[in-house]
Amino acid sequence: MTTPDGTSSADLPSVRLGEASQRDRRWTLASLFSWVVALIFFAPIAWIAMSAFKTTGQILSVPPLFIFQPTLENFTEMFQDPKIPKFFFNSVLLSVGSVLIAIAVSFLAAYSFSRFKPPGTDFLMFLLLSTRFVPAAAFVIPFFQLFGILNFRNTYVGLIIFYVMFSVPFSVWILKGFIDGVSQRFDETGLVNGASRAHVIFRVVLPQVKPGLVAAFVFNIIFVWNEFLFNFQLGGTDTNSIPVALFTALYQGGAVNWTYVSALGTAYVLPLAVLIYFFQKYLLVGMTFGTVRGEV
Amino acid sequence: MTQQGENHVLRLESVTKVYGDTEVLKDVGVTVRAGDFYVISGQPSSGKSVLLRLILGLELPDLGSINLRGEVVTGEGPQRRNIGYVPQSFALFPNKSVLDNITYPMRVDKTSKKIIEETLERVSELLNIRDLLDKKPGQLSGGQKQRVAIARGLAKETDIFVLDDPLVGLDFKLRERLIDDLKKTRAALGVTFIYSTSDSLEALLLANRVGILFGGTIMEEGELDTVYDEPGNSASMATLGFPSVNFLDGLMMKSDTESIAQCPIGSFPMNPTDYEGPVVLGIRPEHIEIQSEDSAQGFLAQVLFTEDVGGSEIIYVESNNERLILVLGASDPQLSKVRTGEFAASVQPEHIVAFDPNTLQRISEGKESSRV
Repeated sequence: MTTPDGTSSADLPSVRLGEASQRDRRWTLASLFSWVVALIFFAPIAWIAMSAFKTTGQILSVPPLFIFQPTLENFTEMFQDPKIPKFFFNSVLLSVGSVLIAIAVSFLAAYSFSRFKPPGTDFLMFLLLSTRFVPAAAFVIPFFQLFGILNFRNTYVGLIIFYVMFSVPFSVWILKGFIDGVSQRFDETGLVNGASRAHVIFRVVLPQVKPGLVAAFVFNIIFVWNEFLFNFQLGGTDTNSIPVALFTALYQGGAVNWTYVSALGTAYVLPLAVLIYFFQKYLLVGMTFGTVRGEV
Repeated sequence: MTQQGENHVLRLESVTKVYGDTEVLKDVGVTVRAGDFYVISGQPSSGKSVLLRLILGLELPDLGSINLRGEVVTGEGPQRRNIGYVPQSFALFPNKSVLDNITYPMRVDKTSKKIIEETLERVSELLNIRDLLDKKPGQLSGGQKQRVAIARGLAKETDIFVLDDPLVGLDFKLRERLIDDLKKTRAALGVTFIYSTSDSLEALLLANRVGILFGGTIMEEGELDTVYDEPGNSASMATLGFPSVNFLDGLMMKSDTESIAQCPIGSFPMNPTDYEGPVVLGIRPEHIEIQSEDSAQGFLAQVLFTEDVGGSEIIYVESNNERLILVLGASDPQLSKVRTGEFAASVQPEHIVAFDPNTLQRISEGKESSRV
């Protein structure tokens, strides 16, 4: 290697330069590989999202079109279907409604588990979580029967109760982790100064576990928003959510309605994607049952 | 506040608290009078905090009764007791500003705005935290948090305050200042302080009355000076000693007319007692004297090391295989003797207290001697 003025450069720097460029090359290869893997997994979502803005012909064209004139026609057409706003309404009502109720219930339960430690707390906590470890398909039949007897099938009350039950376990775990992290000395400071237990719960402890409440909300919203099986089985035309609408639309009229499915799919993913984008740090909290709280 | 002699605001009688199989407190009796600076003094984990929690109502006793301001409150929760509280771990609300933390007790009590402002002014002035009022606890140093916690504890319209070892871990200078401030505050407000500490010096500097907590019970209770000068048991003497009290194993012997206590550093005439047998002799460090010249009296002490604690020097010596501590003023001329590594020392008999090694109770004390 020579420098611009023609003299041979010192050996040492050139060796370092060689090592550095080798490291760069390996780094480039590794990131290239990662990008390929990532794109493969991202491709279906990209395909749906792109298809939502294509005509049927463009969707089915071979080779696939990457550059095209986007159209919003699929969306305007989709929302002309009177059932569609209803599906969205159902999805929002069932997920937001049930998760809010579940968090209220879970917060009080978690406080009780954390502070009063009733006999068998550890076992109860395990039992609670165990309901989420068993495969949902195993419970479809008993729930179908039960909801039939209770006349809960295809009612908002019934489905909200179901999703509350669905959301309570993780919420209790997340919130207990957070409440455990709030020293009991805070409760005692309140009580000694004449505060009621309700004051301690809602005015002393609750403000200190707000991140936990957000984490429990985001984490469970994702579950309920995406839940398909029980909505399909226990719900009906009045209460079906978007996943069921997507599934039934897929098999309507003998052929797949590609524009409808892609537009609905895109509109369905969007709210959740936005939610997750803004609250992603809370997801870690949820996935670790509230034991990792450093980020929030 | 009336000035009656038996005007107690708090009385615990035969209080016992059990956790699982452990009797944390047994048969505890405490009497606090209005206006006391009552210090519960005991080793770490001797049950001081539990005792305070029983007083506050955060725990309920398994046996015994608690009388507060003339009413039995044994089974009552903390809300009904109206006691100001400085917890050991601060417990400052992280989501509230310092100002909101301090005024919290009064806001819960729905104290009038005027009193809240006056009290805030007073306690923030007292604890020198006026510049911190807008900050959040997370922005404070350890010492600042402690001062805010004390301020919050004091910012309550009441006559009794419980302080759970509030100065633990503070640096020396700040502690010295707060000790002074706490004493003044109590006096200025005319209120009652119940204070726990495992630090002898704090107890000695703050208390007008002490309760010695040892082995899960109050071994002795009384005026600080009385308990210090005439300890009724070895635990009291040990707890209220700075630097640590010297305890020597000895033997009490009795003749027709007198009792003699023998120990590795000599024999001492004691006030007559019927007791014979092994004893523990307590001697405070300040009562071991260095002899001016080598006299027949006393014992020979080898210096192990010395420790300068600002203002005074603690000297660790060995004599006849017994380790002893003595203390001298930093400018004491006798220090030159210490520097030689060996000196003759003596103890006046009246400064020696003999205790039963099993019951820890005081048996006798050295005879008053006329000095040579």
